[in-house]
Amino acid sequence: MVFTPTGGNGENDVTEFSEINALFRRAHKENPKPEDVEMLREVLEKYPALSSITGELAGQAEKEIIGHAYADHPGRALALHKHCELQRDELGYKSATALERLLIQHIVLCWLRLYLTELRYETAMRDATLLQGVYWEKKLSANQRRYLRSIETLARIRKLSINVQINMAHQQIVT
Amino acid sequence: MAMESRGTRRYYYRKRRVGGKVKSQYLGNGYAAHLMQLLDEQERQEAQEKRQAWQAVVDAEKELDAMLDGFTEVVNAYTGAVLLVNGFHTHRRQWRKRRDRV
Repeated sequence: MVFTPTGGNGENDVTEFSEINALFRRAHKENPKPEDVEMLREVLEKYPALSSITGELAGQAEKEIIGHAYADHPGRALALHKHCELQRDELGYKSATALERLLIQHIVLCWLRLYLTELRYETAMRDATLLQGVYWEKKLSANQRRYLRSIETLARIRKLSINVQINMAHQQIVT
Repeated sequence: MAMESRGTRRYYYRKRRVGGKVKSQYLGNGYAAHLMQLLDEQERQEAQEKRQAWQAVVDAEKELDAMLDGFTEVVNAYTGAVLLVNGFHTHRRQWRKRRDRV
């Protein structure tokens, strides 16, 4: 299953994300055109629910990953969900800004993927063929890199001490 | 792999590919050959089941990776967009606050 942004208004969310992504690619360069940056701002203002949509996406992804690993062990699945919740709290989810929350959710998802891959790796290596061993080694390294990158992103954003402000329709959101 | 008829009798040959050529190995006839054929079939079936199970694992892993990649793309685009519209830019892949030009 390829993960596409859904939820909220369904199909519209995919359009929203595609629009933002396309604009972001245009504006994200050495000297972006001011009109591209302005358009990006307008799109963000036009779709104020986007940050909550990404939150829903994270929830869906968490369920999917845990469900895949522990489909037959609801107790373990529940414990893992709880652990994810604790991790989010430890990273300061409740008091974080909207942007940081998104990054925290990403970190927890990456951790989850890494943790379950480690478990699979240990089990598989007992009777794996050489090719399967190589496959799990690569998978583990890729997930470790992904997890580290996600932590770095949050650390950078916090280091920048961003008090990013977006004026969204009738409300001002500080992220 | 199969029983082969030679005249009125049936013989069992095991066929394996070695260096691009098919090598035929005679294993006997009669009851022993039939038993050998059954064992070979079972072995083949087990190997196929293992291959299918491994393929299912690989497919599931791909699916989960694609899902997480999709989410990462959303996170990156959203983070980048928010930073860009608030006066940040990237310099050597690091986000920096753009200095106000006089």
